[in-house]
Amino acid sequence: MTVLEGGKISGRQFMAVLIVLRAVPLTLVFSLISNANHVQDVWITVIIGAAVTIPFAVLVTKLSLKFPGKTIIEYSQILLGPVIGRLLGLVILWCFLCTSIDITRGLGEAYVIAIMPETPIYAFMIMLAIMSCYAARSGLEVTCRLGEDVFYVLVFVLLLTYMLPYNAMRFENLRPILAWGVSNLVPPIVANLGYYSQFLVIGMLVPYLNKPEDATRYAIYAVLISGVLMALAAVALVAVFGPTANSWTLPLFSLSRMISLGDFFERIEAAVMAAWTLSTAIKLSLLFWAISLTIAQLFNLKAFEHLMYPLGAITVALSLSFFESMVDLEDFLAKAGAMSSILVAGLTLALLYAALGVRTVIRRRKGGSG
Amino acid sequence: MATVILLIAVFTVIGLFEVPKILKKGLWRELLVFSSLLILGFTLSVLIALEVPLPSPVKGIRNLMNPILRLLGIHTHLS
Repeated sequence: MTVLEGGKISGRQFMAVLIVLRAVPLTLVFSLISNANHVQDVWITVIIGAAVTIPFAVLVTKLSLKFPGKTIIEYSQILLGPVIGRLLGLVILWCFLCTSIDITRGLGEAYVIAIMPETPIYAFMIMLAIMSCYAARSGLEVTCRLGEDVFYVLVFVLLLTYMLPYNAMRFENLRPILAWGVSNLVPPIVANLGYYSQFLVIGMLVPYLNKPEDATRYAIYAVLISGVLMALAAVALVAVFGPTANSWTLPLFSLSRMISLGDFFERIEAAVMAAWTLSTAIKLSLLFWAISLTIAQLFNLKAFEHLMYPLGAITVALSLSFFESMVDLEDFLAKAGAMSSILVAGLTLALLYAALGVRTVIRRRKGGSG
Repeated sequence: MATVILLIAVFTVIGLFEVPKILKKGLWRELLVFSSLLILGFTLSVLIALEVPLPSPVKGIRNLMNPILRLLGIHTHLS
């Protein structure tokens, strides 16, 4: 069989792209804050979300390690048979496509809302798609190498944005804690887990790690680091904006506009915008790579890099038609979209583990009788 | 109409960029998948350029997920 993707990535690159994958919504809409009725408890939901995601990430990596050199699309067909396996592959493909549509529209809306309201939204989306298609066409190695660099830029910009508005921070804004009960935590947890369910892409990346046995460790690091970045964002936003933190469309961008040091160190929002653009481009190119590899494996193709530009065109077109506005997109991402992603990721994993269990039992019986 | 002409130009460029490479390698199945995706992308883009309202699966997903979300106490203002 032809090897579709010949590239190999290191554990650190794997971790970096996973963190970038999760941090994109943090830099743009940050649904955890916008979807919370009482923002004081959002940092707690981040911790709960990370605690739930670690077992999920571990289960996906462990399953991938049982099938060395095979992606989730390939071993789904081994475990569930060619028909059900392919159907599951199509569902995963749809999830990847939906995520790429969401972030393309998200970045376009963010640009239009924040800085260039007169420019047509598709101008930003087309540029983003071309950039990501070009990176994805160059293969996984290039995307992940870029992803590692973007990760450092992203962490630097985020930490700068969290720390520098210290003059405006009032930590008493974080109180009261859990005053509205545990039920108040549910909406942000759903939004958080919805984004974390995109870690299903681990199933596509593990076979291309130069040391696949490190995958579990680095997947856990990715959840922990992204969790810390989000918890700090939640604390900084609530400390600065208080209970009204959930009313901002682009919270982190608004936070960066608060930065003013000695009347000369200002306009840091440009750095936040750079972080948006770079991280969204990396996430989109990773998703384009995953989508085209999925299509190639589902239809037994020998090459997949040719599919990038048509995929980019489809993504831009669908992202224009899927949502009516930023409000529509935000509501979908935090609620129905998040819930459907959680269900798909959870059920996919449950189905694959159930099939693995049945396969192991049958093999043991056959081995015992033989 | 100008947008449609521009779209035809863009998609022709994508075709001219990729098709010779695919043909050179004799990858017929790849050509079929590539052409299908390109035609789909082109059709969607033209429909959007002509402002034809396209059905959005977002509404369907919302309707499907709303009962579960309501059970969890999450209310959406959009339907």
